[in-house]
Amino acid sequence: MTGTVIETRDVVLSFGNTPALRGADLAVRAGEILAVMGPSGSGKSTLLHCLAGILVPDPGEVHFDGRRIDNLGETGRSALRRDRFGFVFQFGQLVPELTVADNIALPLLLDRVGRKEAYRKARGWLGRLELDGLEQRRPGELSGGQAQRVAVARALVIRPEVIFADEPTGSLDSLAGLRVMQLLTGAARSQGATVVLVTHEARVAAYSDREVVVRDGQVTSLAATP
Amino acid sequence: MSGPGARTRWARQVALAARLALAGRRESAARLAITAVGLCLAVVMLLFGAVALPALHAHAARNAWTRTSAHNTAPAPHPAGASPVLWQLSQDHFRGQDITWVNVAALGPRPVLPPGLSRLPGPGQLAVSPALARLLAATPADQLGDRFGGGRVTGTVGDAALVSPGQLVVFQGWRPDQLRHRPGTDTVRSIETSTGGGLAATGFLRLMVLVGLAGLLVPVIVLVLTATRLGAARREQRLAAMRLAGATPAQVSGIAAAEAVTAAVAGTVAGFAGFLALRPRAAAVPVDGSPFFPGDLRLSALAAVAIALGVPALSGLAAVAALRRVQVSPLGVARQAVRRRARLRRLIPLAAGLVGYGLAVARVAQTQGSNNSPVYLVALAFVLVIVGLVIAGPVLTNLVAILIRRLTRHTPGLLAARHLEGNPAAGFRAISGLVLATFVATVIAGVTPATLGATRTGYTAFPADLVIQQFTLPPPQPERSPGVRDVSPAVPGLSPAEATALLSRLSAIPGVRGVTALRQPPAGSTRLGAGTYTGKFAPYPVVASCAALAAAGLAHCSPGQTEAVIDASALTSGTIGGPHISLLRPLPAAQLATRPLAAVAVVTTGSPATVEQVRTILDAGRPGLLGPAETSADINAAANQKLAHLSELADAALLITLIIAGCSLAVAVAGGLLERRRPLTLLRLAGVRRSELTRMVLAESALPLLALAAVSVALGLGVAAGLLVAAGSGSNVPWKPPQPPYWLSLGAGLTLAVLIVAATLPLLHRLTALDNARFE
Repeated sequence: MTGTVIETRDVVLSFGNTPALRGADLAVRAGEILAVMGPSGSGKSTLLHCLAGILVPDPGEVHFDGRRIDNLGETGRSALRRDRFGFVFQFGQLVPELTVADNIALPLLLDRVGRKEAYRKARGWLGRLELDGLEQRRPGELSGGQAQRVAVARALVIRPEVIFADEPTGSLDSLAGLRVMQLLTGAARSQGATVVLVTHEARVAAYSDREVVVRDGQVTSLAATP
Repeated sequence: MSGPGARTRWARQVALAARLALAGRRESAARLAITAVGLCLAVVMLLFGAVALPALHAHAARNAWTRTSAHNTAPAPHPAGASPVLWQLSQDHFRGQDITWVNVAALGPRPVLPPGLSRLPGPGQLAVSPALARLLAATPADQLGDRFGGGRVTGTVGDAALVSPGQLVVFQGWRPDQLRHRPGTDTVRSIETSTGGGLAATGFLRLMVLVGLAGLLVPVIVLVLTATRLGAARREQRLAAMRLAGATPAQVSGIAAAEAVTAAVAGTVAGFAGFLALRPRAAAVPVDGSPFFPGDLRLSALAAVAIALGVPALSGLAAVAALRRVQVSPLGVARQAVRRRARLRRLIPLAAGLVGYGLAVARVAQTQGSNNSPVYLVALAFVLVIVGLVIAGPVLTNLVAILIRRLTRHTPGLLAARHLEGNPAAGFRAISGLVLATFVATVIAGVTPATLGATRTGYTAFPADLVIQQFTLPPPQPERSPGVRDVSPAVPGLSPAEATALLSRLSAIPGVRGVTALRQPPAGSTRLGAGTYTGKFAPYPVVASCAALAAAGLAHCSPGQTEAVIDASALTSGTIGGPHISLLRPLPAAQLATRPLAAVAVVTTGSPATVEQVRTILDAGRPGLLGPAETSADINAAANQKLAHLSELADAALLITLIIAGCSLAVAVAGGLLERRRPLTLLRLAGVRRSELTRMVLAESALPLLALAAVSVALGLGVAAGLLVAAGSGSNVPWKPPQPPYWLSLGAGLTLAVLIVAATLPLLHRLTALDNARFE
């Protein structure tokens, strides 16, 4: 593993009058799998969204690959999500009207990659994530585990540098959830991608290299996963 | 971006946007179809709106030549050396149709020609319009053709002189000596082209057309917006997922715009096709009393291009503008901003619109009759009132919700109130089409009865089977003060010998039950009583025997009275009463018979053939060629024809509006149920009974609808009163409340709306069935 790839410095964020982050500092090393844990409402998802450039902190800074990203415009942050970040969320990340193949190819199509090339790359992930035969189905026709594996494929098809996963197994049974985590972490390691994983499940956090705890909007402890 | 690589990338993005816009199969197809239908209707109305005013102007321009006189306002250019013409314009009727009858006599070898004629008919010759030619061929001569003195049809009046294809026009040629001394004959050296005259009515008509179009367009816009909102939650979820995958705001806007533009292009093309298909039928609609030549509904290139490009462009812009919430965050509906409350300041545009409307009405009323009367200001202000009502709608809905919450003691009412308070904009959106339709319908209903009953009153006193012909004109210097009335008419009436012959011929017609001769009284024999005389002409007495007057239904004498005097100037304006005129001395029948015949009233069986035979004899026999022989139907038609047609058109437009608004309501309610499937099912799972959910859904739509309909009715009546003020004294239209049919229609319409909501209840029950409580 190498140096810090993404970090927050004294990030503060409030939703209306409700503070979500109160000076959160976090540094993630390149290639590591980091689990962000904490009680419900502690701000862990908000911290992940700030790292990913989805939310812009009130004061505070977010740096990626040595560059500050919190002061980028929406177009710049969209480009990061399209080209260098991948996302695996609990709900609402797949386009329900598109097929599995469409959903996986979507980031490439949005990046103006040719259609043939985009679908070739997308189909390459179907076998790796146990999605053979499902490419023409729509998300509503998939099981929860299958849908999450499609989300993982979509996150990985662009060969991201960082993958943000927010409760990726939250809506899955334990077996399906563990399988998703195996595939996600395995693929990420093979690509050398960094994974920031928000979870409240210890079994899921066990796949990480390191854990941090968010409590009351602050990153309060850091511990290496044994 | 530049170069072939950039163009390729741009083309890929457009293709991706279109593909993503059309993904979604049945739901997308339904939404696109409904949106396209709505836009098709909007485009059809916009196109007819674009041709309506030019068509009305074309009517006025086509009719301008009938205002020709010795002093034309805007004379048409004529060839050098053109000779003047003796010109006398008259009117006649045939079975409810008007005949424009122009008597002409050339005063030189190259007379000025009206439009539609290549030569002036000579003595004993006729030039007739195609419709009149067909009528002459199909009608016995004693009912029509004999009116024209046996003249031979030698020419056709071309379309340039006709307001509509079916107009009846005749030019009858005479020798100059036959026409020169007849009353109403002018020596004209040019043909009039000014549309002036009756501008108040034309301006009012234009105003009503604009109001009607605006009123029709708004429910269509509401339908389009409601259809656009169909599946909004899923669309926002889809777009948010794309944002998460890295789509830029521009790409998301492009996808939304592509979806909207796809529907808009389809709707626009269908709209143009619909316009072209309907145009011939639309031309037959007598908006101002006469149908149109299809060519008069000509669409200008500018209007066509503006609508063809503008509708899709506006649709795309509206779709992009509606994406603000998704643009903010790729987390989409999971992190939506708190909805803004419906603040009272949303009432300001409505208030401003009403103030502006009042000012515009006052301005138009001040400039009534002028060519520059800004009737468009009133139409614009009317649109602003409608827009203000749309903006204020959520506030009013919120107020209704608060009232329900405070007054209700039951769960359905509370749930309905909370739902409306949570999103009053959505609550108003569902009913907005009907609220606006109610407003427009009330405006029309508030205007129509007043204008229909405006100009001629009291005519019900005349029997329907009476034909009346006057042979004299009112005194040239009207005298309205009481006193002995000595009449010196401009035309002396028929001599006793002529009268005897005429009365004999009339009595011989089968179907004539009686002929009442109205004679000119001797000098100094009548007195005008004290009173206020507000009629168009001064009081003008004629005398007849009481028996004859009673037989004709014109007057009833006191016991012992043998002859009576009535006001002839009011004879064909529909009143029998009027000022009190009395005979100063008895006039024996023998003396009466020696007096000139001032007018005649013929009692018939009412048979159309008999009426036309009577009319033909009267027309052929009248030396002065004065006003036509008229029945009560003719007078009522003349008074109310245009506005009666407008009323029929308004009824048809109202029906279309209600259908469109009903569709909006159905789409909105059904769409809302689909979007709220999860929370409604959770309510059922929590123990809310099906009947309570039913009452909740009904209350959410019905209660705001009834309350806001009441507001619309009040606003509509006020705006209608303003329109009548804007019409001013030229139209002579006092305000009257809407007639019972309007109130019945309103009640029926609102009941139907509630039934439409009730029709969605099976969907509600199916969606929230406990067996279906799965949300993945």
